[in-house]
Amino acid sequence: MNVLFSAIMTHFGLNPGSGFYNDIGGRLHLYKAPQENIFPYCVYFPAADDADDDFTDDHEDFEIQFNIFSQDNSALEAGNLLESLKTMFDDCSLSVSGWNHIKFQRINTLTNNDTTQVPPIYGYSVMYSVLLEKQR
Amino acid sequence: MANVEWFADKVLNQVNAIVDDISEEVAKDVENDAKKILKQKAKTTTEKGLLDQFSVEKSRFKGGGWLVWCQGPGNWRSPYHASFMEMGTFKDEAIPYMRPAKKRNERSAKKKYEDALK
Repeated sequence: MNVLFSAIMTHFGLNPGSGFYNDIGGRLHLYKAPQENIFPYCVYFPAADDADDDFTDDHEDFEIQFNIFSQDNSALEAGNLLESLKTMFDDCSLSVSGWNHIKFQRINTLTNNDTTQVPPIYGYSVMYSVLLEKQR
Repeated sequence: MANVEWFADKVLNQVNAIVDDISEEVAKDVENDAKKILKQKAKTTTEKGLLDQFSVEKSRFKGGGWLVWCQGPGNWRSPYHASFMEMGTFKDEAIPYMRPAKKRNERSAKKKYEDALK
């Protein structure tokens, strides 16, 4: 799984001065964000992690989820972050060590807000289906 | 004019009945695995309290099938926590249990359908 995470981070950091990287100030975290983290930021993790995902099959499929969060009095920033995440990752090509990357397909998007906070937190959970094929 | 008797409706109903039975079985397998995964991962009293709030019911969506719920409609008690745990929030790390259970059962479900429809 580390090779996939590494590939995602590499892809994220390809163009640090623009796009999604720039929009969240480089704050993409695996599994969880550090405490007292600055908004906006994004967390990603395997959503369907299973012991069978041991990278021994010829094909491996995963579901990767990105949670983006913005703390603002308007939902506009969160909406813009969603669009720039989609621009960066929808059907992207990753370089995964030892594997051919077949697809990175967005399968679902849900809101992930907490309007009890002041200012309110607006966010989205975006799920991708990832398919890898072992290199021969 | 020649007539052909076409029993497609009967065959389709029989196939649908078999698929429905297997789908219910698969849904219950997913429910059991989701509970096992949740039991391993749950740390707090609130998280552990989700274990007896699972249910399986026939879907009323157009495509049919079966639904596996955790804190589903009519079967939950406060505090609501199921989707926050599954999806994560800005302050809590996600601890998925439903989607890993679904994934764990994909291969066996495929085999069950294949065996039932041979």
